[in-house]
Amino acid sequence: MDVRLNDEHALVQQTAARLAADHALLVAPTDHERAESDDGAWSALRDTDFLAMHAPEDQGGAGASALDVALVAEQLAARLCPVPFVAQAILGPELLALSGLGELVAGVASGSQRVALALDANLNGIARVGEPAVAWDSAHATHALLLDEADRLCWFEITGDALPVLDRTRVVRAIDASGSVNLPRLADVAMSADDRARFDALAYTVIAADLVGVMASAVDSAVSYVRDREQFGVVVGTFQAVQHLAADAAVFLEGSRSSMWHAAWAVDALAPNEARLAARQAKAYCSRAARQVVEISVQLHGGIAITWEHLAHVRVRRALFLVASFGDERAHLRAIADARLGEVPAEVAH
Amino acid sequence: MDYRDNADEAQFRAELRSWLAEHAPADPPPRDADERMEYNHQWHLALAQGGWLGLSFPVEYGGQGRSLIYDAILNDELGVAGLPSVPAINHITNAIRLFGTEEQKRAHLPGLLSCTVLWCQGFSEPNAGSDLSSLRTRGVRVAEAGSPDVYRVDGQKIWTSEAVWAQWCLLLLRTEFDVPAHRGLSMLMVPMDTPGIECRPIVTSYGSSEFAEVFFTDAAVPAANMLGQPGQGWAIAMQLLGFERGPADMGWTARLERTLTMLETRVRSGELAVSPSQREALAGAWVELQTLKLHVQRSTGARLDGHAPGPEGSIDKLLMTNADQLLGHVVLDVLGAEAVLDDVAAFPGYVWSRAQSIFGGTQQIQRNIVAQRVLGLPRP
Repeated sequence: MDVRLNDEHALVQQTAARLAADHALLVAPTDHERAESDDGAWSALRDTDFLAMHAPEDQGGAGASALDVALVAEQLAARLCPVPFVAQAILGPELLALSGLGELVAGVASGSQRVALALDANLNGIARVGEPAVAWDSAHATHALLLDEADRLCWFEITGDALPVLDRTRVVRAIDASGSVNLPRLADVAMSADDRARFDALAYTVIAADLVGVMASAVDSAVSYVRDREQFGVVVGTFQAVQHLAADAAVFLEGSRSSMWHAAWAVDALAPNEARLAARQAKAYCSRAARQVVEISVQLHGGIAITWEHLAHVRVRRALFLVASFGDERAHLRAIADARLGEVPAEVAH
Repeated sequence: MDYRDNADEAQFRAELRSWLAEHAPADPPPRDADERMEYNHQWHLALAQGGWLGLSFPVEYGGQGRSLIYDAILNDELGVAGLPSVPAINHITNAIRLFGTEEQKRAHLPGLLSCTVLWCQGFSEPNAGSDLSSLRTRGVRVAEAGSPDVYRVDGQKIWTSEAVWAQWCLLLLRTEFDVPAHRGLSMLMVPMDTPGIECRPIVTSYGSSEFAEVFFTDAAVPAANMLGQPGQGWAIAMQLLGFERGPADMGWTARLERTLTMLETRVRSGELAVSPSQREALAGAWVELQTLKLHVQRSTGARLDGHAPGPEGSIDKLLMTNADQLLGHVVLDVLGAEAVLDDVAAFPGYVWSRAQSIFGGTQQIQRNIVAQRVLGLPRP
């Protein structure tokens, strides 16, 4: 057992941190701005080989580990970068690569192809043909990926309007699902149950990593605020009531990071079902922790955190949106209970 | 990055398991305190003779010089098997290794590592719990003609584990009086058969008596028994606390996992009926325990480069508290009537989960440490 980042991981982290700093979100975008704002960051991701980075090299990707992916996602989220890394650089190319569509993956990696994900209307996972869906994390994407009834990969052109979603750093577009039964099928071969489990594991993990980044930035911001803010003639950061809230946030953050590292390692190292269970663990813990941490951060900032001008609400929005995406805490706890306790017959469960 | 055993670790774990299968005590621990102490002592002697102690301790001082991972594996396996834990000597052996003279190391380390000499740790006092540096047990250095100097020790210690059976005590006391509180403390190695020392067992709320109060009345301790320099006691104590974390936490984590696994097994078999919300609560306890374990593994990894444990260990302790107390509630909730119809079904574990946020630095002290020493917030 050796749970440490190595020098290469540190290099990925540093590269991502620099990129994120260059493209950090400084003010909350308006509805118009958020649909438009990520072009520079996308080129920068392409130039650092972060596009399609987890897809295998023989499928047009960069062959990086899921841990590398998670470290990049964390750094981008820590600066609230409004760039669709999760869906378009990682999860979309993953689906394409698992279906043997290396040319499309190479198109993503080169920056010429922009492909997002279609999620079901409850945001639980990849949509099925014919069901209500949204194009998730789809800024500048032309197409969204989904599965047909036989688990074959399909896509459709995104034409709908941007929805007024909570997250100000992500674009979600409406999809007209009624006519989607005759979508162009990309692959003739169905994704196997193992491939779907491995995809789920990567999806839960990269979202957990994004949440860790948001939490880190929420803690940093709150700590530097209470170090400066004075009341009663002293810095409020000297008050124990304030310190204990900050400490609780730090504990949630580090527990989340520990879970997320393990889930990221598991994506590439464990059998698909075990990897998915590890990722559910991380997604469940990070979801609970993230809500607590952004709320603590708001509390420590006081009234300024309720203004549009301050970035606190952008963190809250990004966190709550990701908590609800790809299954919230409760959804994952139910699935974990099924895995560990055995499933219960439907009539007993309700 | 790898959470699995490497080849050497896997071989070590396999050898340990087969050794445990042959040597683990067949009977459960006795409930009588003296019998239980003897039971644990025999177990510790067996572990020492089997070559399972001092795994990460330096070779030159009688250890095996392996990485901390081997301590973690040992603690994990004992916890998973529900066997008594290793002797809690890690902080004492490291204190003597880091601060003792060569003579003190030669005199004390072999007995500690072989478990033939039992030690206790005298830190807390009735009026010095969280505010440890205010402690009042005092030693006055006295020169007597024709014999080596001694410290005359007076005062009272509390929560001293296994004091009744120990032959030696690592005692934190005040020996310097014209300096600020922290700087007046020293560390003295005290033979427990010194005239003027009296132990009174403390009966815990679930009926055990492994703790004691220790009273010192004009007890004469050779000045040569001082560990480090006069006034260095606080620095030594602070460095030692870090050794309570890391691999040591792995053992407690495994014990909590065992409790949860036993509950899950009864649910899975249908013996225990649970509601959908109780199923979610059980899953939630598993998530929390996994987070704790994964964090302890990460903390252990961070120390592989040889860094001494630092204030980040308080995060581990707080995660431990969260997991232990959540599990304590889930056990009570899922067992329902069974937990209250039998005094030992759940209550001892529950009491320990509440003690978790009190001993070894309270939850509040740990939060202070995280806020001030990890996050860098100013002292009040």
